[in-house]
Amino acid sequence: MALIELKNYSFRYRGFKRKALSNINLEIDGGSVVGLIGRAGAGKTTLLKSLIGIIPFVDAGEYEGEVIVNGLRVKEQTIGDMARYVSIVLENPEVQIFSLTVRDDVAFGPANLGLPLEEIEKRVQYAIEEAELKGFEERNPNDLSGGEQQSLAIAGALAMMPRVLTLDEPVAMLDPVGKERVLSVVEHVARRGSDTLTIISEAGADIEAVAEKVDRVITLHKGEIIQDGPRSLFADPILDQIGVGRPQVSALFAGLREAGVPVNHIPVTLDEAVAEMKRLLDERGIERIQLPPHYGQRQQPRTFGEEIVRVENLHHVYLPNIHALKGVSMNVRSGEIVGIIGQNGSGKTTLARHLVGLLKPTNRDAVVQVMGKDITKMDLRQVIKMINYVFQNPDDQIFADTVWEEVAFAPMMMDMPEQETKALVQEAIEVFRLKGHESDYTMSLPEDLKTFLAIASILPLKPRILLIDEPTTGLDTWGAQVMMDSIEQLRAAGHTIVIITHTMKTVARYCDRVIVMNKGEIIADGPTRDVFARPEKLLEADIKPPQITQLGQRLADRGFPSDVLTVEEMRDLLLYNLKPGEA
Amino acid sequence: MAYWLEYESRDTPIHKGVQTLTKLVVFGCIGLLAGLWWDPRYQLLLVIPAILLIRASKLPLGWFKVVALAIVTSLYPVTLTAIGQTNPNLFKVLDKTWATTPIAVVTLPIAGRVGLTYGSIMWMLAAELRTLVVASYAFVFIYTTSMAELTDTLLTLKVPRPVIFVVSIAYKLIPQLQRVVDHILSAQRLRGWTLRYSNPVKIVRRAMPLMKPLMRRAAMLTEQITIATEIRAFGTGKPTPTRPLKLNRIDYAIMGITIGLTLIGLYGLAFHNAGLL
Repeated sequence: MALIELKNYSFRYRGFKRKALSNINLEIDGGSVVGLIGRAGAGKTTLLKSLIGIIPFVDAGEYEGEVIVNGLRVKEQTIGDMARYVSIVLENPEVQIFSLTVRDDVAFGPANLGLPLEEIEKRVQYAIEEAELKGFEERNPNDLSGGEQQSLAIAGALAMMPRVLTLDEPVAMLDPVGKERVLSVVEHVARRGSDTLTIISEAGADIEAVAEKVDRVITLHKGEIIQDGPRSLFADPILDQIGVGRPQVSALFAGLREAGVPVNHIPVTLDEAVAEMKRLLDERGIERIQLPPHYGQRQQPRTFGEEIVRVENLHHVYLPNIHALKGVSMNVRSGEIVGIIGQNGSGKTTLARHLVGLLKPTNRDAVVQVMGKDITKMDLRQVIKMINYVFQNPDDQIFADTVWEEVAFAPMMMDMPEQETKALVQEAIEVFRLKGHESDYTMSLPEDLKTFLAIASILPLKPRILLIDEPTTGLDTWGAQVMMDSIEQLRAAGHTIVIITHTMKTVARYCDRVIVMNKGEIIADGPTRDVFARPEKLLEADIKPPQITQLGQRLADRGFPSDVLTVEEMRDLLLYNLKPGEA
Repeated sequence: MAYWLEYESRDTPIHKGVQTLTKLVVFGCIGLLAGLWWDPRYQLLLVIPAILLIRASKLPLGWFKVVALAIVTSLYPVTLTAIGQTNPNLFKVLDKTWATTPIAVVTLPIAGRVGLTYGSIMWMLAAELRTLVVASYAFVFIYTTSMAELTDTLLTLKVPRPVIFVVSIAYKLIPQLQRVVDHILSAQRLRGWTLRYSNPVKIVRRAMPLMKPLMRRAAMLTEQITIATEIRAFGTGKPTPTRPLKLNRIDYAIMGITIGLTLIGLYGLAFHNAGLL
């Protein structure tokens, strides 16, 4: 009997017309790592919740068919019963941590099961070791990095000794090294010969990282399984078609094959890509590749307008003694798209809050100027017409009943004339592709449209500079693409954009310049190409460049440049060498 | 950085050196005396150790902004109650003549003699000091006690598990909600929102951009935290306390002194009206 069996399983949330899952038939055995892939709203979380009983016991709705885990019909158990067999790690580690020390937090679950103290201690030791948290036992969870906190959440789940460990987009909120840490923990658990089944859900932003770790792929689309098979399915173009996207290396090799390069096998991981690339080069006797003549020209950074943001020696100390910004100095030029990157807690959001006047410097000689004006002395209602900031979570701001009312809120607050408001709202709705949704109820919008709406609702204030916190978090590849295209459109319309993000693919493709923050300081600031060409500097801030850049860096001995930013660039470079006549 | 009503792990004698049970006993005794005493001079006796505990636990003083607000907003109902206390028979300890000496007193047709006297001022002071005292001890307790410590202690004290569940969820939820409020407030201010009316109806209407996202996020957070606890079997069986109650000498000393002083206080109150006006 399989560890998990779903028989003709369908579920519709109460109040929704469409089924979240429709007629799912699935069997999964223990001892493997399964990637559950699909766009936002495809049914991934619903499926994971069904395994532990959150559905139907917390989230009620219409439940058909059977979900059997470890031989037990889930709907005949309680969540507490199922917690002995299934654990789930949520996207946000913060809500899953309850205790003063790492040890206490890991012990929380086993203690709730009423196990003897010796057994609890044994499980705590096991889970801490598996989650690579040895040495952290007495640390306060609040002092851990995002990746370490998520590892702690995994340790808490492992201490329940589950037969099934499920992780719902566990790396979405983490910096690249944090993502790697968490996925290495997952791999460690799976590869140590236990029969634990691990299921990781992923919407596309971290498809490269997930593809490195899983054995089997199950792809959901609109509540139905459209793909189920080995890891090589990550190379299937259907992932592009449904808006999830493929790993960058898969997209690269698929592109080469389409161009007539005899690619034997489409790789899905970086190691496979390096091996396949070396094979291709060796077959043609290419020891070192040649750079095309236009490659150097492409490296010339664009030029921009006047300096419109100037920050000098900015310090911020949160009471009692957390030095969040330590003498930060930076600038932004008109027309740029600047990416601010760094690990969780590095000071990115604190800096952004200073730039819009939500925080004041804690040192007197700090300079925070926007368009030549000292914003520390300005009224916020004046500042927001020059520079504005969109928070990461759209649920923090959306309140109006309809999309139109939400976008019209800011101009109404600023007492703008009705005719002008109407025109501005119309424009914002068009930029973020919300046309046709004007009368939609905001709360019933899908996540991607909510994110678009949050940004669109700032636009009528016509801020010259827009700061956007994690514009693509929570979005699948399609949503991220639409978002960034809209941001490009804003730049073309004269806005200057600063984004804070953990998604290096987005930075590489769209940002002209990158500012890298680490522990309250700027450790690198320059054109994206230059910054991503220095992996050792990025590593100081727990950052790794995108997979395609890493591929070039891994092949440096074959003449590959270390600053390739996109799949298209790499493809052109390779076609120039592999099919010189056609490049 | 800890938000208001959020535990913060710090290396202070109150965080590390005192057991949760001891803190509960101190908090309970102080709460009892603060509730029973009506003489502000006695309340001041409770303020002194509170100040010492605040200093020792390094409690952020910003937490008291809310207390200041509570005191200011309670001034109106407290004053309304105080102005009715012009009857000399209400005062058991104070000299009745002095206590009813008018500061601003009028005689109204039905209500009779109302206004401020020295006695009613003393009563008002005690009422406001009580808020300060109880808040101070509650703050120190929350700031220095983690959820795990509190849960273990309540388990040892055989508190019913549903009660522990509710307390624990609240303990986790309140600081999370404050982060949410902070974000919502900032997000709406960045769209030009201000609370600029004095008309209460308009204020309520104007508060909708804060209230709606807050309600929604509160519901989401409650669900997330409930799920996060339930999937770790919280509230489903008979849990094992992982920190069996181990009281040190200092705990016994603090509890002994506190209980002793409380008994003396109660004796004084019951038999000598000590603490009454």
